[in-house]
Amino acid sequence: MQLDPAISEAMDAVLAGHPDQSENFQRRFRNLVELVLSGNYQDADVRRVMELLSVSLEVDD
Amino acid sequence: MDVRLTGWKARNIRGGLRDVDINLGDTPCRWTLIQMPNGTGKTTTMALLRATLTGAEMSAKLVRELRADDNVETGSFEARLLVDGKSYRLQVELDFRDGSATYWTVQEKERGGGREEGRNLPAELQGLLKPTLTELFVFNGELATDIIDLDKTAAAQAIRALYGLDTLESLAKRVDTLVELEQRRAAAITSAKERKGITQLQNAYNEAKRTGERLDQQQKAASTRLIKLERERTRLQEEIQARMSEDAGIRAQIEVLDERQQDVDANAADLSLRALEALRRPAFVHPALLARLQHLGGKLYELKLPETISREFFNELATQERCVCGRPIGHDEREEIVSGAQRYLAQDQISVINQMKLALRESQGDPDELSTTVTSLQSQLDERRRIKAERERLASEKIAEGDEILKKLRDEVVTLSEEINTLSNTLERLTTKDPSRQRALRLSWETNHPLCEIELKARDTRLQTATRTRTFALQGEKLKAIVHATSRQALDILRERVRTSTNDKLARIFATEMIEVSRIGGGLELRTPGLGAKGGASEGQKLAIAYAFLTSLLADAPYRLPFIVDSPAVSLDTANRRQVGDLIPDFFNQMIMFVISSEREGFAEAFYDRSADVRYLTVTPLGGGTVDIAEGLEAFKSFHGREG
Repeated sequence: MQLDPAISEAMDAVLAGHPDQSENFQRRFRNLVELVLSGNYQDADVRRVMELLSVSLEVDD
Repeated sequence: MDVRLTGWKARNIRGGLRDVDINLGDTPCRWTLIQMPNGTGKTTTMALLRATLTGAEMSAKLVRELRADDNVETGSFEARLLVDGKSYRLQVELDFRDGSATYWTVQEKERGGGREEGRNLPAELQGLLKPTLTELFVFNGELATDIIDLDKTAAAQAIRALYGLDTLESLAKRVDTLVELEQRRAAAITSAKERKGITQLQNAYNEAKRTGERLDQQQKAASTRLIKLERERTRLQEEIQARMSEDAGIRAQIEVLDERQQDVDANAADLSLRALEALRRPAFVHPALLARLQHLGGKLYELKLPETISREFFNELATQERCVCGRPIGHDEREEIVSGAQRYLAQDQISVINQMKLALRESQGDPDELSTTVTSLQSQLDERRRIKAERERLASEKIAEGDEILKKLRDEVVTLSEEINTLSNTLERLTTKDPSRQRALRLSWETNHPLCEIELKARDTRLQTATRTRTFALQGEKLKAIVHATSRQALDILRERVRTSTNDKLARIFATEMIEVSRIGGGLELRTPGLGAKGGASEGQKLAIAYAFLTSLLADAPYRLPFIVDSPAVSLDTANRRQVGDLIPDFFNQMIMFVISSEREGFAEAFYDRSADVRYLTVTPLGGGTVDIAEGLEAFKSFHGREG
């Protein structure tokens, strides 16, 4: 499904605020959003995108 | 995705829907005006279209209220759709006796089609057909007020539903489920999942690591010292030997002792091997063990175990026409025999077991072999102690005769031996892997190196697991935040896009009293240009604004949906009707309008000039719940309903 330009624009803006995240994450995230909006995604798709996120363990709970 | 309604059919439903089949054709006209007087089932049709599309649960009370009359027990409603050119029939079967409603989907295609219970539509459309969105395109007139109401969230909800932002945000729930699953898996190893817990695990790991390093250093120092002391003791013992050998009488005695020592060492080595060999052969260990083995062999023989019927017998039987009992063997029996054959041992397995049985039964050997060997070994060890004592005695006699140098050497050996003993004990405590020794010496991971390594590994596993779990949870939180931010950002962009488009339409509808949308929050915030916020709007204005909003929303949506509306112009004044009638139709690929005769003026008239692609149907009640459906503009124009 072709993503609505508004969703693409929103993704661009949000991902621009996360320059620390890899190209691979950004690509997979876009792909995940497309899959979610077409109602055709699996847990494995979500897990893969999550695991690509870099996080700091120093963050307080 | 393009969705079109190609018709609907009602059976035994109240109002005028006892037996109605509206067929809009495989390529329905872009605009369909259906003139129906009040009470002929417009509202019911709209409600059933919504229910059928969403597959929403219907209460028993609602189902019973749809009953045409007491003479019917069941009814049904079917909506026919074209989804990207593929045909679907969405049905609901109603049972008025128990108040149940069952949904079915009929997909007409060459392969894999047929009637299935439930909703079986393309996933994208299935996700879209939620009540919130369906009310927008099978338009619920009450929404007109809600969309404008700032205290409600209908406008924002409509945008969220249509562009899938709700679905996007539902991803958060999926993330939570995945994190919970990961934490549940990790719970068997550690309950730590937050920073404090991980810090504690890290500290515990560091503590075990430091202890391991300390024990390692202690072990190395003790080993080095032990080697040095043992060398020194050997040197002193050689010096003692040399000193004693200076006396010819003692030298002769020492030589005899050395020979005896050699014999004893050789015998002890041989006996140790024999004892180990006997231990490996149960028949040589003890008479009682031999007797038990022979008894077991005899029992297996008596019981004829294992059975002599082998798997091969049944496999062969399965190939025969008749069983050994004479009965014919058919396909089912053959399958059963082959499957049952797996329960029996194969010939080679039986052979191995029979060899074991024979070996058990015929177990032979000297059952006293082990005890005899151990007794002999003991006597050789006693002899070794005696030789050592005699060497000591010879040295003591020499010292008693006044050999001070020998005395000094022997005292040094004794001192060294004591230190060597202490060091050996220390090393055993540090290095033993024998669990029984570890228990006897009351050792812990803090004092024993192998135990420390085990503890270090366990603490490392706990730390790694907790770190992995926490990392995963933090990744989940971050993904949720990014998804939420994307959804929020998209909503803002879409709100502005829809607002601008809505205002363009409003400028064409309200030529005299200009009203525009200043902001889309939960609802639509209105203003009059130049005058600021607009406090209230008439019913007609509200409806016009709602149409402008909806058409803007649906026209730019990623899905092409039909727009179905009941009495679209009834509360508009004639001027606004014309504007709405002129403006709205162009925004939809398909529009179905239920109108009453009074709406012809202004609103329906706007379609008369659009001769192509407009279809007019006029539904006239005939009594008894049945209706007549007339086709064409003439019938449409000439109909005089109760409202007319």
